[in-house]
Amino acid sequence: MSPRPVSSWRAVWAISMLGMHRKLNRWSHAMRRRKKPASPDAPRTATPRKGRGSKWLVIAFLILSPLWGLIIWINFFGAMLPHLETTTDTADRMAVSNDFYRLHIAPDTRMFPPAVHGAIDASDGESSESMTPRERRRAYARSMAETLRLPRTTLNRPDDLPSEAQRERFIALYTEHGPDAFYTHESGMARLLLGRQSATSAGRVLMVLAITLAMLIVAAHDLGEVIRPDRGGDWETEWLLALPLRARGIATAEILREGLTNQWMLVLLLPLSCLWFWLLGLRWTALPAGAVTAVSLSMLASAMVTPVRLWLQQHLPTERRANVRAGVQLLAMLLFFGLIVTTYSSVGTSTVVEIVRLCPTWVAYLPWGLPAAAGSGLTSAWVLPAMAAMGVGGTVLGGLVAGRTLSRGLRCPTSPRPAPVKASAPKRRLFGGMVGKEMILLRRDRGYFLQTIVLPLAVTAMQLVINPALARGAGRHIRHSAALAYGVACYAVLFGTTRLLTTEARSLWMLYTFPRRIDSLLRSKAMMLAGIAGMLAAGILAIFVGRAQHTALQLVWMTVLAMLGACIFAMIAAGIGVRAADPFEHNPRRSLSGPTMYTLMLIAGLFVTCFYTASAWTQLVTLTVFTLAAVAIWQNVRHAAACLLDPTQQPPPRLRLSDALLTVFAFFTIQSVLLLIMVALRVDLALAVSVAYSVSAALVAAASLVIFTKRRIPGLAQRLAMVGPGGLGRAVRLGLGLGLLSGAVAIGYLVVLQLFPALRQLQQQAPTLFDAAARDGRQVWIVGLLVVIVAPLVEEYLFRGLLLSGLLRSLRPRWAILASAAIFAVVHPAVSFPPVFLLGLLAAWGVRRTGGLAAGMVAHAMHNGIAFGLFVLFSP
Amino acid sequence: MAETVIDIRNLTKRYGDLTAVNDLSFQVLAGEVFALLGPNGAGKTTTIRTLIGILQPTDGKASIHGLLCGPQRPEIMRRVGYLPDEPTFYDYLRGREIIEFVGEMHGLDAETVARRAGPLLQRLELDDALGDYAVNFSHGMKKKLAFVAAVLHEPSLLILDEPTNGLDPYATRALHGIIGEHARAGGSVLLSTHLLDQAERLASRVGILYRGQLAACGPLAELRRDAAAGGTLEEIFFRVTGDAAPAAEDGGEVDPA
Repeated sequence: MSPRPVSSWRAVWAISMLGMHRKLNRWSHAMRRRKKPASPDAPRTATPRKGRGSKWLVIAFLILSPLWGLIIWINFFGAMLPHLETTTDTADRMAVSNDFYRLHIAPDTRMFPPAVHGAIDASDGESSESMTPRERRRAYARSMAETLRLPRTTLNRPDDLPSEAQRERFIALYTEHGPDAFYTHESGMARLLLGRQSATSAGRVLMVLAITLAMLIVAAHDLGEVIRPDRGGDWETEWLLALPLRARGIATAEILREGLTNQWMLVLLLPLSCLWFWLLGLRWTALPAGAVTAVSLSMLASAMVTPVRLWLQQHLPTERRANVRAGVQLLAMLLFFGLIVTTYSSVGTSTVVEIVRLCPTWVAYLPWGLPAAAGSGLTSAWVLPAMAAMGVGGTVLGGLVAGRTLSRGLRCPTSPRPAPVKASAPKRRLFGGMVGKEMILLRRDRGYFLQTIVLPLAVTAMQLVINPALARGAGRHIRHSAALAYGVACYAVLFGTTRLLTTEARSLWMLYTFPRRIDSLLRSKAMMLAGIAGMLAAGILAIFVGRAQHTALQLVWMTVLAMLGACIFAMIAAGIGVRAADPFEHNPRRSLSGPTMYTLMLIAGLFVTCFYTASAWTQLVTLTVFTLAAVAIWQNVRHAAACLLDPTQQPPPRLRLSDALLTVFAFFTIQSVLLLIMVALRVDLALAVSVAYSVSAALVAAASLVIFTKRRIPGLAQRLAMVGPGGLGRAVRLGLGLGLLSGAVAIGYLVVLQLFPALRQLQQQAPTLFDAAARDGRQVWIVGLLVVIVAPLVEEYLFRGLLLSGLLRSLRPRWAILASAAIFAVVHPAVSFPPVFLLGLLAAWGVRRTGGLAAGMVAHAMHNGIAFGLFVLFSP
Repeated sequence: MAETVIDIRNLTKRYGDLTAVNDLSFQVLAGEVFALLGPNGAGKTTTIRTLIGILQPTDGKASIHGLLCGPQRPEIMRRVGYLPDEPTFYDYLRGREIIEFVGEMHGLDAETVARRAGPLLQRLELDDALGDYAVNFSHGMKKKLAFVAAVLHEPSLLILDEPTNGLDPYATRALHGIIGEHARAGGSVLLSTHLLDQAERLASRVGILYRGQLAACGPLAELRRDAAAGGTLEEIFFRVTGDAAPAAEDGGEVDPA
């Protein structure tokens, strides 16, 4: 006798429990700190994964996302409701309030005639002469707040003046209605939070609109599940279909799962419902009431969408479904931005207000508008059970409909196959290899294309619409235009670059079968995106060039900076993305953590200095540092590449360029901080510099050596050895010779410097330590000690010990020596570039030659000794 | 004495607390078909992935043609073709484009790729499906495509993880033929399988992996001689992997008559 098939209700229950177990397992996996050690005789289990704890992120998301939604909805209702619920002449109010809304951001002293604001009378008279503009603004803000009974007034941009007509209308309205004729954004919000809102019919229609918008976003998210990149396609539904369950049971379980786990329910529906019941005066019971409403609405959305989703799953091949998903996600994103736009722009606000006015009242009685009906004077006592019943009924009905679809099977039986193509001569493509493959994917995969190119541009365009001042500002000067172009280009490629690894997804194994290094394959992909970033920057800059002020040289230089900056940033982002991403996580949304993205945006922001500094030297230094960071990050990628697909192995410890850069940065940062403190304490400059330099050097050297030793870097002693195999005598002899040569060139350079007035001026602009020493004879010894003994020791350790070793890992010896010398020269004042660069070259060569740092230190000490000796001899 | 192609010495691979491969040593010589047998979770795939450089050994070393697996992977992959257990491909790339892409990455021009891939695809009956997106391929079709991609650069050593898993009998026969031809032409093959008859038919030498260690290794004839009775590979397999009474499982429900 065969057992009877289980009932649908049991199936729904079992599948829902299964879903919950999976969620719990995922969470407990994230929260687990250490696994119990298994005994050697334990049965063999599945291979574990490199764990990444995300407990705090999960908790933060659960708490912060409803709060975020609450803020969005408070702003939304705060902006709209005052327009809709008025007691005075609405048309007039509308006209003025819109003007006023703008004006209150940028009010002007000419806004109010003296008759309106008594408190300002005095300041408009003779005393205003003695007031600073800031004090005047404050006085007006105070008077405006008192006159109009505003909770808070901000006056930050005095240059946006109201027209004469606006002023007159304002005064007329004030004379007629008094302060009641006006409100502001803040006052609307404050009223929402503090007072009780009576639900008028317009308010109900607004609520229905808000629910509709939120439901659309929730439904789009549900529909986006039409393909599940993290779950390996459709196996889950397929697997359930293989069990002796009725199709409608499986479908109902799908609806339940999607409805209950939709994150937008948490972000939008929950705060919206809670806020609405709060406004109706429910106080703390608004929370459970809101929760019931939100869940019911989410179930309703899921019930409406799931049959469509299953139908699509049945009729479209995978790649088409992925494109449907991309389109739907874009729609959801645009709707969400639309919500924000309507709240923050006056045009958006008045548009929504007009829509509400035009809506017939029956809109408030749409099924999903039921929560709005709670405000029509009826108590919410029947609304909540009705909502719950609607959620359950919708789920059952949706389950029946979806079950009919599902009972016909899941997969589309055959994907339409193109007619066999005859063998023809292979086409020549512009790009081959990795780049060619990526170009095809970018063209065909709408999701990838949307995320990489379209969405960032759409977000930027949206920003320009919300905040037209941004576009105006960017058009004012070429520096602003270049900064904007750089920023947009960086943002545009952020998705593509950080997902460099995860877009390879399950095909990553293929890269291992090619006779090329993994990092070089990934790098060619990164370079393609860097190229896109550079071209985007140039393209966006071209839009503003016509309007912005600039000289020809500025235009060229700013274009170069914007393009270079975007390219280098793309490389940095790609490298960090590869290091931070989890190659085993195939859902691109989960593969990278939020903090990594914020770090990247922070890094992108650092480069903006380049556009605003007047000094070409600072620009050069910034460019150098950015380039170095990119090289260092890609060196780390190379080291890590071998262990990319190994679930447990970490790359072996090595002395890397990033270690060198971090140590150098630490040295300069600690030195600057110490110097600032001592200058603030009025310590003598020469002494302060010497102490800051020496203390920072000792701290950084000791700490870095301890860290490197603890990491058990193989060959550390050999790389940082003082004396190489050649012996001390040879190193000292070579060092002395190199130092003499470099010192002689420095003398020659000083002589040349005196011959050219322009260069001499440059020299005088850079205040040196020597000048400080010259002021006081006693300090000569302190500075001498610093320059001849301490500096060579520290700088050789940093630049020839760490930096050169790091660079040698990525570059050929010749280029590594050149690069280390250039960096060494860049951290010195601009005027001393030539001799310091030469010293860097010679010292690096000497260190390589003898295999120990002693040669470099002796040469450095010799060079500095000669320069300092000359200075002491010839200074006045 | 033929040249040693694969040389694995004292290889150990641990995943955290789990030891997947434990002090494993064996060699594969030129012109040899070496079959790695073993139950699920014995460490076959781990060994193969270590050879390809996807995994890093915890201890010991593996080398191919004298080149160290892992650090010298790019040089090794010029001479090695690899077929994974479950090949997956980029969404949105057609079968033909994947073949072209792999050819480009090996530095082959388009004509060479077409000349080499054409007959193989025909033999494996995949040429009709090449215009489809590979993501829609069935498991067997993916396996065939991955095999063609693996031999495109005419490697001297083939490393095949469960090569006929998911293939129909025709394709299995074709693949066996190709493997045999490859070995007769002087190339070597390392294949992992749990199909005992496949190992019996193809392999010149067999290694039975159990709990990360080599339980038995040698030419089939030698293993047969060592086995006490019967002498089928199946019996040897069950004996060394610790199952004393294999007949009980098969014969339990079968009438002894």
